[in-house]
Amino acid sequence: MAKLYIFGIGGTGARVLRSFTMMMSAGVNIGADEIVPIIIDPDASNADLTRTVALMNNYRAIHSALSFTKDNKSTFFRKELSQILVNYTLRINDTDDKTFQQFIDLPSMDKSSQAMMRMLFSEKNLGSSMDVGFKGNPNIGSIVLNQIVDSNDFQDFANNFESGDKVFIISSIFGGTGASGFPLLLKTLRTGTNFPNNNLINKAEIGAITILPYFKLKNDDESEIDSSTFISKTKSALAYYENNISKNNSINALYFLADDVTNTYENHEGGSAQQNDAHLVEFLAATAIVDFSNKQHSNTSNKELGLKDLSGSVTFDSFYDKQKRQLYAPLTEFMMMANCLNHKFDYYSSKDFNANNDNFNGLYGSSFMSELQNLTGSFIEWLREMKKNKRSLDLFNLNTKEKPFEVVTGIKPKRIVSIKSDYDLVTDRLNSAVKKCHSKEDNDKFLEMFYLGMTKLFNEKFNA
Amino acid sequence: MSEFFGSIYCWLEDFFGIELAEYLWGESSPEQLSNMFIGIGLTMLAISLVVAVCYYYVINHPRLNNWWGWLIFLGVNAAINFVVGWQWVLKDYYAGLMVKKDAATGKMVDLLIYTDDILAFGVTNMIDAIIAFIVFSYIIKWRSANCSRAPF
Repeated sequence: MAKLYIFGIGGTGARVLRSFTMMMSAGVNIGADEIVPIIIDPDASNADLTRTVALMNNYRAIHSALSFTKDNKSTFFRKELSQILVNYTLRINDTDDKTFQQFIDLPSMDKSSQAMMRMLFSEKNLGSSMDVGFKGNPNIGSIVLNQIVDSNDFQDFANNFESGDKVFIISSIFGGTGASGFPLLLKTLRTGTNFPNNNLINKAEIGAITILPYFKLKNDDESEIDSSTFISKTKSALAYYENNISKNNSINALYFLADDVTNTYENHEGGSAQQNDAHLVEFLAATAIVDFSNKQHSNTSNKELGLKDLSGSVTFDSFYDKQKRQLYAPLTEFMMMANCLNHKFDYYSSKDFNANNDNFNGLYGSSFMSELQNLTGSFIEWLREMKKNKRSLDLFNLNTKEKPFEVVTGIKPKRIVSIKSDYDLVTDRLNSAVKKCHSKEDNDKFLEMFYLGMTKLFNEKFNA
Repeated sequence: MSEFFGSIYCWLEDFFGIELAEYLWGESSPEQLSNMFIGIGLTMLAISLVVAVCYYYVINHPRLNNWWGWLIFLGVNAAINFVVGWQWVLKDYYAGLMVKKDAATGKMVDLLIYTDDILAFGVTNMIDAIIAFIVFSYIIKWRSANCSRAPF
């Protein structure tokens, strides 16, 4: 079983992993059997991170309750998401409750070294607490994250690595943690020798996405993060990446994402207040992981993503055909299931829903169902955040009420010959699907029923 | 077969009258010598089956997957069969086929069958149709995608 290790660095890494987990849930085709997320973020209380960790736990709880027999073709929650580290997070040694100058042990340095350090780092930098990230300072991050390889968690990752496994790294180029963590991690993976399986890891196929500025932060004199420096930091980092990553073939595929339309967020240095709404760019970054997992890259490929139409909100029609094909069916089918479970749960858990006849006894009150409802609710919330963000990703109508097929933005559902319409048609397809399920266990059967039913409806109503 | 169809009607022959029952058996009128229960009974069964198939497999609507949805179709089946049974026999009545030869005069005289008896026979056909619909429902409902839970 080929594994894909995904390193999500900093807040952006966690947010992209959130989008990627949603795509995994919906069954977007991923070219790996097992996904192993590893988050690198010293700011453990960062709300973006805790939300992603909760979502991935949610996914794993659902996946672990499913067995997926050979004949069950359902793609919902099919891929295994493994946790090899506590909270999926690679802990960096010696950063708890310490300032940066304590971390580098500044007082014990000789005078000339201290002078050099004070030239490279401001007093504010030296006094920065290490447990809320590097607050947009890659110069701090590059020192601290150099310790990654010494951590037990990194050794655990290396121990787990097998031949054929791939690595993908997510980072932003304009912050602190991601900008400094990506080149350091890549260098460690490519050239490091003091960890297990280093010969395999050094030669592994490695991809990465680096995200250029896609949001701004409000000016705040109290905050160390100043978004007006994002562009200059990006330019410096790009120049560094060109010389030290692209030109020396140390990476197989390097994806770049950028947008000139940006939203302005509240300026939080980190912690529980740092919870940004999901964004189109994070969604697109997750599609880069999908793309990487499905392809082989022998030499360094530099990739950018283009959209067909950028006049207003981004919809399915904004994507080029290949990307649309990749996303349209799984996300729409999952969205229709999410609507059933969130807006019509009373009906679908009742005796009136004929599929419940001799099936799903006790399922609706089970922890599996509450996990499933929780995740589908999060899926809708995730879409809502992206829809209201700037630039807006408007894939679905999130308020379909009694019209379940008016769900895809800008797409008029096809008419079919049937005396049933709307949710009656959905119910009919589910009742028919349950008779075709191959699964024996209720949990599997329930999701297989939705998969078969929604696939049929998608083909009838939306497939060109 | 004639015994079978005769018997499913004649358990209510007191309701629609012995005279009409004998006419339908084909034993009282020289103008009508066949067992009419067979034709009427087969038609009643066929209609009931068609209505049940419509309910469970043709219309097969999720909103009708309950006792009242099923009851609507039972009612429709009952109404159709009432009209069929009633009109089938009433046609003979107006055609003047319900007669017998008077032993004394040798002339043809009307049998003692009234339109109320024929109406009662329609009701009997309706009751049999209700029973047939219930039986068919329990036989065919299991493979219905949307209504296999109806009526219970």
